[in-house]
Amino acid sequence: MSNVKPGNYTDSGSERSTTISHAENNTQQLKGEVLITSMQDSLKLGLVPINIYNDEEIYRLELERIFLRNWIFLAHESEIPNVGDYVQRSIGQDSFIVVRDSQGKIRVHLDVCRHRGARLCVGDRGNTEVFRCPYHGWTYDTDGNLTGVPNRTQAYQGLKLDEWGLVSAPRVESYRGLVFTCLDPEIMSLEDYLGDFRWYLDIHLGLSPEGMEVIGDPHRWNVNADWKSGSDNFAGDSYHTQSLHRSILEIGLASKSAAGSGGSPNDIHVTECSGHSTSIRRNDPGSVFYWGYPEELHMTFSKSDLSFEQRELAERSVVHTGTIFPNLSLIHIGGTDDPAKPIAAWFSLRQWQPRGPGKMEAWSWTLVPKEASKEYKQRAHRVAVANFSPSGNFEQDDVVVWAGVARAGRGAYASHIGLHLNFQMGMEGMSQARQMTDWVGPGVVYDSNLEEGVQRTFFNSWLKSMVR
Amino acid sequence: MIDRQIKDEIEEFLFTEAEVLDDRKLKAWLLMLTDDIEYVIPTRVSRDRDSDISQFSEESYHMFDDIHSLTARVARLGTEFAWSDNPAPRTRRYVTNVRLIQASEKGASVKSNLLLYWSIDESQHLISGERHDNFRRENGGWKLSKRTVLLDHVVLPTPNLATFL
Repeated sequence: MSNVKPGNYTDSGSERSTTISHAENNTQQLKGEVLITSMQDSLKLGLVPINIYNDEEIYRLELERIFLRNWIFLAHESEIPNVGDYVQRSIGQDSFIVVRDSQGKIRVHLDVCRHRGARLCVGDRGNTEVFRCPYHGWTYDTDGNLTGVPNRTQAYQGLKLDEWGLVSAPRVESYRGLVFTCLDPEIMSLEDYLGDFRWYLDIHLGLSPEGMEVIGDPHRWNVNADWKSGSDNFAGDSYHTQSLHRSILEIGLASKSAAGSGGSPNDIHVTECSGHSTSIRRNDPGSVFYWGYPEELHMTFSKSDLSFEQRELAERSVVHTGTIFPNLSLIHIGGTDDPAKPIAAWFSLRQWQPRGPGKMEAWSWTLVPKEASKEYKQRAHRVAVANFSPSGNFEQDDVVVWAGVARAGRGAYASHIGLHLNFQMGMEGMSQARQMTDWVGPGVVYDSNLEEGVQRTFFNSWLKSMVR
Repeated sequence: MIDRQIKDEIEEFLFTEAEVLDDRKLKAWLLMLTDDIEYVIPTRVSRDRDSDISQFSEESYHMFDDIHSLTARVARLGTEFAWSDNPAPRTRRYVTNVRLIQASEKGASVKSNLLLYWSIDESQHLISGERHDNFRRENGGWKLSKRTVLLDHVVLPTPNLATFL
């Protein structure tokens, strides 16, 4: 075992921090498997080694053990509404074509010609009946079948076309418009993977009878931070808003109930919900707010198929953030781009794509209820962009601190001393958060958002994938 | 002859604007804009070059601002809690290839190229794009009334856009 003594360099004096595994070799760096093994002890104590945020071996293992084995979000069905529509998406370093085939079914193909490996997809999105490899001219239909091999009689007479179709993802399933794939054929169904978390996800995706739709194209931007920073923050870091986003509060772009200090009796944290988690800020009981959607949409929402309890929660809701393991996060919130203008609500999906140790490409989609007016959709997108996007008044600041974590994570000294980060908020003796026994929804739910079980949930899921 | 003079005046405006932004005089920059400014940076996707559909979205944007939202952004960056803007970024705007598209005594439509060098901490980035600007003469001087920045990126190279293009 390696050196894991977090108590030595903090003044917390917590007894539990000093009791975890002892060093056999103080100079051995925490690397790869050793880091993972050590986390089985440290995470129980709410401690996470900083090096996992920027480590070559951890990154390589994550691509294999997390991104090849879990359900990964790829697209929203509204991005490819017509037969032949495709978008190019990725999982780790692998590129995939997500296409609606001739029967209207969504298929996911590895964007690699089976002959020499050249890419087939022209551009990020488009519409096509056929994917033609530029190298030697092999062609595939949208189902992935190899349909054409130039000079076949002279050159490739014995080639069995049905053996050389595109490599298609073994599992592709949708849930209320969200298209996921899993590269492990043995995985449970998407519904089971989302599990109890569907109760919360349905509140967003089933809010309006017609469902949600994506506006335009997703934002994409390169961030010098690890993908896990996005996932752990959106899992429910309710503690950071009052500090990191203080500028927003100062100039009046967000209310204190949306972005102020945590700890209001209306705030709850949902942890260990089938491996996923969410943080919820609400208005007082009886309030009908729906994140700030205009009143004409409230009538529409009342026709959706949410349960009484789900609707009651939706009515009072101010902000939900959450992370579906591993790298799909959500935020449902109202905001404005001008303190003098009323707030508008929107729903955003964001994905933290691993692009190397300590590097990610962030993706963000704006979604709105299909029934909303054209004017409202445009307004909601403007407000979304002004808050959560590369130029977003909130999000500008998030990535800066995440970059700092990745920077620290590559440090040899941090590794040498086994520097651990504190995710202990809400653990015994730490905060006033109490588990709720009368909560109407699933998960292990706390009556305060000043606790970090939501983020420990993310790391528990991470560890579960990394050790198996 | 009039066009030549207008082009000179607009060029001078663009060079001054670059200096104002590089020197981080953001409140002074707001005064160079009309009250009805429309400031737009559409998202871009890579597409088949023969596609009939524009690479630039007509629905989604990296920024879609008016004078009020720009003023709010400037106010936010002016607080002591704008972490995206601290330590002070080092920026340099290269505004070139200025083309006068249309001009009259009252207004002008101009295209130009922008190369922004943006560096904060140890990171360094280049953002490249084409500006389509409209200018209006107000009280004898020019003001920017509309800007569309067509980026040469589908994935922004910067961790954020805590600046103005």
